[in-house]
Amino acid sequence: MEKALIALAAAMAIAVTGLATAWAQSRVGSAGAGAVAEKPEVSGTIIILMAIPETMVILGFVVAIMIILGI
Amino acid sequence: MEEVIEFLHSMSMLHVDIIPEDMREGISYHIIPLQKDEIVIKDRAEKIIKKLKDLMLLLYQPSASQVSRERRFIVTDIVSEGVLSNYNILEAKLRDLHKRRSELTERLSLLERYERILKGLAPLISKLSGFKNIESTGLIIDKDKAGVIPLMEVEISRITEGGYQIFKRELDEKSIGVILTYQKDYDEGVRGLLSEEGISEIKLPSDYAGLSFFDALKEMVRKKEEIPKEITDIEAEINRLSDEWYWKIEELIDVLKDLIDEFKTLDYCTGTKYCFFIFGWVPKSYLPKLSNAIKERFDDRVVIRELEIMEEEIERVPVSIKNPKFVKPFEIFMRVLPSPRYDSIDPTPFLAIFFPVFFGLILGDIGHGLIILIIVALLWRKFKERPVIQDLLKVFFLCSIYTIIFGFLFGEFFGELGERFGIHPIIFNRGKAIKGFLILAIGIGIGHVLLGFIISLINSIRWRKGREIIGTISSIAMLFTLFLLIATLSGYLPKGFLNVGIILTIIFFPIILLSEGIIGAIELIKSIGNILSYARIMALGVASVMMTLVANRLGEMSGNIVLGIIVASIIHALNITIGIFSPAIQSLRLHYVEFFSKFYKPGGRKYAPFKKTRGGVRLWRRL
Repeated sequence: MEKALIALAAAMAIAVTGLATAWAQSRVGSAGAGAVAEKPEVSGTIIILMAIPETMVILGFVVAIMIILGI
Repeated sequence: MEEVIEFLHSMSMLHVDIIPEDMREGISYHIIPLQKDEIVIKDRAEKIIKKLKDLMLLLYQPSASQVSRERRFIVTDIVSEGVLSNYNILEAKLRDLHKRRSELTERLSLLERYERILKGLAPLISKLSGFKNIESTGLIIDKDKAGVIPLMEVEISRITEGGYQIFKRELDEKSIGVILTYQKDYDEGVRGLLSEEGISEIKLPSDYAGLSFFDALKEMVRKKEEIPKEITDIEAEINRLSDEWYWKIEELIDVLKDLIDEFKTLDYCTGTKYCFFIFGWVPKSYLPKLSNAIKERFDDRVVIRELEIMEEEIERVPVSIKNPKFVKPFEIFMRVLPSPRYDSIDPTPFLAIFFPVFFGLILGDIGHGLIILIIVALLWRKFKERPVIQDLLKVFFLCSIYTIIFGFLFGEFFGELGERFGIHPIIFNRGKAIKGFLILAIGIGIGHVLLGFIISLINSIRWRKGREIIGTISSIAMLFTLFLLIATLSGYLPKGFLNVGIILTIIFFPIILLSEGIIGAIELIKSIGNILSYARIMALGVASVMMTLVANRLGEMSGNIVLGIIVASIIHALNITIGIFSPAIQSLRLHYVEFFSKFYKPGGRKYAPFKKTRGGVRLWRRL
């Protein structure tokens, strides 16, 4: 049972943060597409802004690893 | 005055700026406006530039670039109405050529739709010529319905009383082309028959509506041969005009832009009854050269004075970034950020040191590093003329070297394939020592963030900002105190250190609040978050290892060596593609957000000297 709960906790850590990242990136992506259509020179900035929400899922992955390893 | 402006324009060193209010205090000054004729010239120049830019769109850039010679330009000549009307004539000619070319291209593509029919029926045209009072029509009949042709012949023979001829020819493996000729008197009857039996005639383009079928066909075949030649002649004419005019027009646009810039500089000039002032900024290293040049040209008529930069002016000072050759390629990453302030530090050298290291730590695979190196080598020659891409390639060359180095340290060659070649981890196996990798990543975070604080401290000492110095020292001390407390509570240090930690907190936390306010306290907590953010190095590194593991396992599972190599290669290729973007962007993010926030002050103005695009003699003479 304990193993199952650990697995569930780790999965939730990734799943919820993954969903949050996806939602954030969808908003940034659609706004970014509009910005790039009007000003192509901002494409580099938009790519970097797209990467910023990835922090959530990366930290979710770290938490999942910590849960699995029992750190 | 205009002589000085033109001279400064040629020197291309001074960043012209509005004279500060405090400098104008106590002086009876006035703005120097453009004279009436100068306004007319400026307006005309702007009109001509617009016209010339439209003209450039109609010309092709010649492949051979012209060596620019310093030509003499007389202002009144280059902005005269005559010049504008000459360019109007050229524009009309070019538009006409482009229009004719579009029309011919459209006609050609229309004829190409009839390619199949023309190709199939063209040999019949010679047989049909020379007939008078004859009507003709074309039909396309499917081969599997070819039996209808004899039946149709019988009916047509009846309608035309035998006065007809039918020509058949295979168009392709499915269709037969038929041309039916008969006397014009029987036209109604024949067309009525074809319509009743549902046999559709070939519909030719509307341009040929007035002609009989085979006359139209003849005309189409002739046009199809002639049009490409006409298009080539038009292209040749446009190329000839481009060779003649392109570089002249480009040169004229630059000269007119320079003239307008000189007029606009008057907005920055202030005059008194006896003299005028121009205020600007110049890099310290350029000042001796500029001073000597002004003295040589104007003697004591023009005086240059170096002013002290006041603290309230810091934000206004334009900034020029100069980096050594090996750091310069990393300046492309700084373009997405606002320019640094004059009292800030250029972080590009730190980016040049740490970015490739983080990239290598995350990707850390000999095989992946070699692939990136090969890609860089292949693209190097292809993009020799593109400086931005060349800079990116230099950056990724360095990143690939670090990736290979860390690949050796982690013992990875396309994942655990390295084991089979005798490559073993020197530091640790990233796939197994996840805890150790996390500690390494956090350790790198602590070091990097502390370095940020130290850079901020050095900068504050350089600019003698007492409050900032105290605040930064207290922040560094508080961070160490927090690490001390965490280490003590985690059992790594004896419990006695707990009291030390509490005392240090009582000393330094109020200092932070006094020197930087509540923002300082928030920044301190943010710094903890910044350090933890470096855990992404571990996360992305482990993700990369797992991807290579999946690639190799799937390859093994396929059962066939060739299929296994293909499957593994596809997933490795995907990993490398993600591996180029993800570590690059996350490393940049760590720099922009976690590292730069400690010392980087954005909001500076870029040094943009009053620069002449084209050399040349003085354009502007005030009457």
